[in-house]
Amino acid sequence: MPTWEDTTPYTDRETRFHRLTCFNVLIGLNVLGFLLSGILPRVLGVDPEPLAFEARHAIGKLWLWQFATYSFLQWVDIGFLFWFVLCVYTLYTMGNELEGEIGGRRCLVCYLSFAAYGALAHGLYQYAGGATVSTLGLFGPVYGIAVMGALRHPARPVRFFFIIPMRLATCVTLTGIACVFYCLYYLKAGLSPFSILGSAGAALAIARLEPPLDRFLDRLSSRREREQMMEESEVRREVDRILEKISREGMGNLTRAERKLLQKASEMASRRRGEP
Amino acid sequence: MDRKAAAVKTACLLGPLAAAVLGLHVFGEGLGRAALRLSAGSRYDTHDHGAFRIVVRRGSDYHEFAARTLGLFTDAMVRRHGGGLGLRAPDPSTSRVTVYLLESREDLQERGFTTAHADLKNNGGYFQPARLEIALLVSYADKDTTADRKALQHEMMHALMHLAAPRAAWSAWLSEGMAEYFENSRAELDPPVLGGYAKAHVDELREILQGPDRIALPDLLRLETADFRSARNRAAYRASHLLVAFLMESPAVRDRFPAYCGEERKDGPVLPQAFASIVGEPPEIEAAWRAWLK
Repeated sequence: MPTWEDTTPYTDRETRFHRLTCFNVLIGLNVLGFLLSGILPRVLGVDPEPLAFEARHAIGKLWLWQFATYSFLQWVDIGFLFWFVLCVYTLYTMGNELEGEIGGRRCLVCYLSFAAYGALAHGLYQYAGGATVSTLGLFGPVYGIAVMGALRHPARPVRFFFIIPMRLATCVTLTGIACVFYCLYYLKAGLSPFSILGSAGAALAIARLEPPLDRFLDRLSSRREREQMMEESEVRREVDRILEKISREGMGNLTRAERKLLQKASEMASRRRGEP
Repeated sequence: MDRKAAAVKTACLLGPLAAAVLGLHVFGEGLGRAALRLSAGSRYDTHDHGAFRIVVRRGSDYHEFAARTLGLFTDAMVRRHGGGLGLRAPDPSTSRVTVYLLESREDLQERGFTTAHADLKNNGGYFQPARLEIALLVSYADKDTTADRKALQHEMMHALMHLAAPRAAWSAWLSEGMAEYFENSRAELDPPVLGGYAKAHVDELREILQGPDRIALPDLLRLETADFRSARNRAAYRASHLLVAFLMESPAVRDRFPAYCGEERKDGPVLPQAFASIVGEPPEIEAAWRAWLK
């Protein structure tokens, strides 16, 4: 069974980045969150609960930071450590490769949006089900990133739980199911299956809606360019006529409208050159 | 992709999120009420009483009695034990307690199966911490409401302990013992009488300790929640009740009990040796407990 790098579609560059990428920073923040989740309450006696997502605080009182901060707060537990390592590995491999494809800024926006949609799904559960249990953990956004990666390279071979070889799409689906059941069992500890479902839903929606949105934006952009080009050629024709008139009758005989048109043509030329 | 297109895409990504958050901010409580009405069924009505949302038989004013009982009990408990046990009252906006006052055992069992995932054929009610939900089988009696008052106070004690330490995994004997002990409170008196037991309870336990269901202290400390739902749960309830009464009232151990409760309040289950190291070795405590019972 080949390693992750052996199966990468990119042969001209490394897929694991050893520099300051967006996902390496996110991994650092999650590890820091894991350490602080253990240290703050046990050693310093500080309750990190205001950083966990609780719908009646985050939505009811508009404590909006909880939509992002909950994902960096972790459950300090031996069993959870395995899942934490799996999530960090996912960010290190799939995340960094995704970042190479779509860029760091977009990856950061997606990661935080998945976290926020995961929190929203948990909030819906809390309001509709009358539940008061708050949520924490990196499952939601990381699973969103995994779904995004699986939709881009569904047939790529990977190892399920580092052991069984299978396609990436199958592996992500099975891991998601296992994750949901694990979170259902430990819901009281703050692991929410709804955050996983919410962020997976957001990743699927992006994959479904992004291509038509891109096409719409492209159409809009080319229509704008066409209109601009037509306008420019119209102005150019008028400018030629005015220049001819200047050479024939002099500047003094230009009408107010003709002067305005020359001004406009000058502004258009400056804009094209990138001047203010 | 130019900057404008990126901004449009980000707006498309975050716009629905913002709309949903705003919608829940405005209509979230209404959504909760609608879901509650659906889950309770058409035979029940919902009434809000500050930190309590009470579901009663349609047309009944029993919610007034329940709200009064719960309010008095909560106030008295928080005033008396807010410091020592760290109890705090439910908050109407963030930790409202929903109380189902059910009129039939079938309704209780159905709710027990669907929300607490438990078979409640041997119990009269439950408290579900994840939903802050109490469900009780009540008599809807006009005159003698003692049994309903006790049942309400029993489940409310579980709720107060959960609110005091939401991530603690209280030992089953301590959780049920405290609930049994404090259900005998008379919060309406001035000054309130909190906690207690009757001679009949002691006689019952003596009888249990001599019969086939007798339970030794080390076994009592290891009981699971399932033991309190079994057909022979009477021994577990009574032994836990009177052990807590002993730990709360006996001059020999009552000074050590708050420290043990503090240990239980910490996140996760308490260490097995905590009782021996804080309260005392189980054989010695058992001997003192039995002597106290006499």
